[in-house]
Amino acid sequence: MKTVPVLFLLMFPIATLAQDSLSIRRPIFLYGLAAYDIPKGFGFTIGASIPFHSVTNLKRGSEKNEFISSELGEYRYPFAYTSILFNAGFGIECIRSSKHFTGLSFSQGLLRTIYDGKVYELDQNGNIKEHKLFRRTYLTTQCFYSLNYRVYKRNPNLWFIQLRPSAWLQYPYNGFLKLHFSLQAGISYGLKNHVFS
Amino acid sequence: MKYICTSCIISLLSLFFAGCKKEFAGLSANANEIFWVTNNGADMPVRVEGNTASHIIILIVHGGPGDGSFDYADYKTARLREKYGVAFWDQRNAGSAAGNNNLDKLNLPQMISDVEAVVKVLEFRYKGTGIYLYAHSFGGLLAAGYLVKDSNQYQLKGWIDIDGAHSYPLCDTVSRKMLIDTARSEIVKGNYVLQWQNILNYCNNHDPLSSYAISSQTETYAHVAEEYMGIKRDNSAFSLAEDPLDQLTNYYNLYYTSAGSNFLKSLESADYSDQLHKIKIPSLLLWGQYDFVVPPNVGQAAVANLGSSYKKLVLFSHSGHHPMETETDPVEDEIINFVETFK
Repeated sequence: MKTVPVLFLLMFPIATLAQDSLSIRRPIFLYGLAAYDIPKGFGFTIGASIPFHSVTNLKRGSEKNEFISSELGEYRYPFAYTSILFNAGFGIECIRSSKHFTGLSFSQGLLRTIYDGKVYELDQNGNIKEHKLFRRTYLTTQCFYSLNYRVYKRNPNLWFIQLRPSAWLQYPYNGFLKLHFSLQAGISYGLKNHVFS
Repeated sequence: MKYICTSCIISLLSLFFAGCKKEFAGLSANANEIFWVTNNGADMPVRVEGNTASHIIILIVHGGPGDGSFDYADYKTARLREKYGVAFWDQRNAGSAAGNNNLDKLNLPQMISDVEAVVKVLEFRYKGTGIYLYAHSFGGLLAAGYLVKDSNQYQLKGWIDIDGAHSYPLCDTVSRKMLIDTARSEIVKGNYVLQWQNILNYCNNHDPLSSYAISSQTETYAHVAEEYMGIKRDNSAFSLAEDPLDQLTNYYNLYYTSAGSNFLKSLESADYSDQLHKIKIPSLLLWGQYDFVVPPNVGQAAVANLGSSYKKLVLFSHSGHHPMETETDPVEDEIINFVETFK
C-alpha cells in the first residue's frame, strides 16, 4: 500500500531544474477590480499584495513570487442584499515575460450580508419587531486565478490590467455552504518606490 | 493614465450605488418591493409585486419542499399581479432563504410557524388588506396545517389550493391506483406501451406506504406519467430559484443530509384529512385532471372534508400537477372570480 504514492509519482517525469532564491525585486501591488458574481451579483474589490519570497528559474528564465494579500470588497445582489467582504490570503505569481504574469491565490475571509428592505421578527408574545440593516456573518474561502497584462509602456511593470476568475465558498449557509463563481476585472498598480530587496 | 483611473473610480462608485434598496412606500398599483421575515434561524425573503392598492394580497405558498417562489413570478401570475398584490415568499431552505446553522429547524411545525409569521407581517405591513393563500402541492400541506391551527384561518379571506397535498398517505395510495389504472388503459390503446408496462410492473409490486424509497420512486413515475399523457411543461429545476447555486444548496440539504432526509421521511405520515372540517373560510380547489403526483381524488377528498360553506373544486382537463402553468388563463379566471366574490 505504501508503494502506491511512489508509483503514482513515477507516472510523471521528474526533472531537477536550476533554481536560486534571489532578493525580491517585485513591488507591492495595489489593485481595484469590478466584480460579477454569477448569476446576478456585482460589486468591487480593492486590495494589496505583498511579495515575501522569490524563486528564479535560471534555465527557463521565469520567476515565481510568493505573496500575501488582503482585500476589502462589496457585492450587491439587487432586490436581495448587499454583502461586504474582507479576506486575507497567500498566493504565488508566475512571471515569464515583462508583458504579463499570472497568479494563483487562496484566501480566508469574513462576509457580512445586509438585507434589502426591512427585516421583521415575531417575539414570543407575537409582537412584531422591525430590524433595519439586519445582517448575518459568514466565513468565506476563496480561490483566485489572475491574469495580468501590462498596459503602460513608459513606466513598465507599473500598470497592469487584471482579469481574475474565482470560485469561493460562503458558510455556514443554511447549515451547509453556498458556492460562488465570480469574474473580476480591473487594474493593478505596482508601487515602484516600495521594492523589497 | 489619469483618464483610466477616473473612469475606474466612477465605474466602481456607480456599481456601489446602483440598485438602490426597495423600501416600502405605501400601497401602489405597481408595487415591487422586498422585505424579510426572520424566524428561528431562517431569513425568508418576501417579494411583493403588483397592485397592492387593490387592498388584496395573494400569498404564494410554493411547492417542494425546497423549491422557491421565483418560479411563480412570471406569466403564471401576470394577470393576478395586474389586479392584486402577489407576495412571493421563499420558505426556509428554499429559494433565496438564508441563515447560518438552521438545518436542524427544518420540520413541518416550524414551517407552519413560518407561515404564521409571514401572514402576521403581511397584515402588519399592509394594514386593512385582505390576504388569500395560494398554495401549491407541498404548499397545500403547509397551508392545511396552518389553517387548522388555532384561529389562524380568520386572518385570511380565502384559500386557493392548487393540487395541494393535504395528506401524503392519501397521495401515495391514490397516486399508485391512478398509475395502475391509467397504465392498463394506455397499454390497451398502444400508447407508450413499454414505459407504461414498466410503471405498471413497479406499482403492482410496490406499495408506496411501505417505505420512503418506494414512495419517492412512485412519485418519480407520477411526474413522468404526465408526459406520457401529453402534458408538456418546463421541468428545469434551475427555474425554481433566482440563483441556481442557492437551489443547489437547498437540494443538497434535503437529499444528502440526515436532517433533510429525516424531514422528507416525516412528511410521509403528514395528514390533515381528519382536521379539514375545522376550515370554515371560502376555499377554491384547482386540480389538473392528469396529476398523478397529487391526483384529483385528493382534491375530491378535501372538498368532502372541508367545513367551509363555500368550497369549489375545478378540474382542468389539459393539465397535470401544474395547471397554473399549462392552463394559465382558466386558472387565473377562477382565482379572480373567487377573490372578487369574497373580497
